[in-house]
Amino acid sequence: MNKNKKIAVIIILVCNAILISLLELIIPIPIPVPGVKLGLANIITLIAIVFLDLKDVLAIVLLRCLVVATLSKGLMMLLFSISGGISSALVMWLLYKKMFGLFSIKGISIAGAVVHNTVQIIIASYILKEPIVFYYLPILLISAIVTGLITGSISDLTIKEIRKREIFSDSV
Amino acid sequence: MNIRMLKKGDLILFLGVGLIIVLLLLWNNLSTASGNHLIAEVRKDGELVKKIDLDKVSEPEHIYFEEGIHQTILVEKGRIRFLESDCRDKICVQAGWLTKAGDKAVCMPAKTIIKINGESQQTDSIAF
Repeated sequence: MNKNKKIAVIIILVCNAILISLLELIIPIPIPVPGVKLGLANIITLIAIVFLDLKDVLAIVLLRCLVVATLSKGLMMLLFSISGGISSALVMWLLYKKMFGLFSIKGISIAGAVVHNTVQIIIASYILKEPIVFYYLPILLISAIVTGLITGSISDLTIKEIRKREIFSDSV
Repeated sequence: MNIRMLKKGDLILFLGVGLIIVLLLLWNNLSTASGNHLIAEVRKDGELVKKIDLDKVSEPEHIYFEEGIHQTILVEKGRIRFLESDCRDKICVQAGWLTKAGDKAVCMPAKTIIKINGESQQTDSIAF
């Protein structure tokens, strides 16, 4: 990818991530556990990991968290978005780049969701000064497997389609 | 390479996370005090705001938080809940009534937590 095309791709991915994060806020989740959510922006993070460098991936996650937190959740929740988003992006990047033979895109997505939820509930415990990790983690892990599988499947299909149509290659 | 197939690492991941879930559930079950004397604790910002003996509540009682995010907690005999909250997602209100030892409800935006501790009333009978 040449430099201009890469910047364009990053901007498109950031915009998409922001939009689906905001869209997700409208979808009601009937589980009264803090941290349970679909995490649709994970789809974009995975696409970025497959096609871009680590620093671009992190830039996309940071920008998305900043904008979404400012527009909706408030600054206190920014801490949660950024810590969860960055840690899961790092783990998914490691699994994809260093151990891809071992994991499918769906598996990587689930691992990302597991890390995301675990990091967030640990931070929540520190903030509340109350060990709620053990109480909520089982449900959060089950939720991570389900939502990770959903976002992983969507990412998988999207990544294949992008490869097939060579959308991110220089020739198009 | 077919990336739709589940791979070896995926299975290890599933088993690992599954094992952690089972262990955590077991741990939670074992560590919850089984006493039927219910003491509710309301904490905000890590500070204990109120400790209520739920068995001794005769009339419904409200606890109000006026600073920052407005919240109302309702206490009745044997149960307690977040009644109203100005936070965005209302997870705390959705959690509903807390009725047994080990139950918890939290509101992350407001940094409020309600939890019920079970204490047994006749501890001396098992002291020997």
